[in-house]
Amino acid sequence: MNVTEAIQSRRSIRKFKDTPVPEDLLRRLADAGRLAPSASNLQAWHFIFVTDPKLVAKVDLFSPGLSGHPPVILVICSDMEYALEHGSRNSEIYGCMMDASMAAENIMLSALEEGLGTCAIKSYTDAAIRKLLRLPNTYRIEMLMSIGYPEGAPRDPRRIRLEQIIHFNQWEEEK
Amino acid sequence: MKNKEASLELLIYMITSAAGLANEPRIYGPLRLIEASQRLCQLLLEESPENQDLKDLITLIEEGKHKCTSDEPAFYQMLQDSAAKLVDLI
Repeated sequence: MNVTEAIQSRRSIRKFKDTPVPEDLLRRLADAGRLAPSASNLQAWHFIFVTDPKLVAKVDLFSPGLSGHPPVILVICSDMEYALEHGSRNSEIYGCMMDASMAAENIMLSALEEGLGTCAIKSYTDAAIRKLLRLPNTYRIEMLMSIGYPEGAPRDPRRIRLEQIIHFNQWEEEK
Repeated sequence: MKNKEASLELLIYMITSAAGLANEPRIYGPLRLIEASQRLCQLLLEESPENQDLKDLITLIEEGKHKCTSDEPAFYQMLQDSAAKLVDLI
């Protein structure tokens, strides 16, 4: 699968098989995330794969945005203490979230190549997830991502036409 | 209550949804409510496994809830249809 094929065929998956995902495969996904661009090359990201079925079920419970009971939930966090020490205020405002998002896309495309489905979400209760994972206060949860083998075909997403959003050189009032 | 675990899960879902909705897209409000309603239907169905109207309502919600981010009119129509379906249950 080349990059274009991966980009064009990726969909958010909301229904998963029970099949466990091997740890070495998850390590490859984290490695893909690690190689994403990073603002100021800060790389304050951490990738927590929740694989223990009991803990997965608990994280799932406190994440209304998750669906399909995935066998793995990836929690992408930023070490804000490190980010503020080695970066800047902008790292806190947008840099770490931007990095996490770029890492997430790498992970989602790599997952697709491995036959896995993913769905990134922000609908979770931060305090509950933090407590479940025993996450230190200096770490910020950027997003959750469900990971697993897809069950059935995903729905086609609504996409805005390219002509509505592409511009060259200057803003055009009428498109 | 027969199914304490499922009831607790519904309670968690409702409170976590309430906690998060302040900063969510507006359409997620009806989405979380109808999702909670579907879970409540499942609980009621366990009390009355033969109730076809409950089964139909669960199916109706299941088929329509995912449209909230792709086809808003169809999603809102599903909410109306679900409300109308409740007439069969009373």
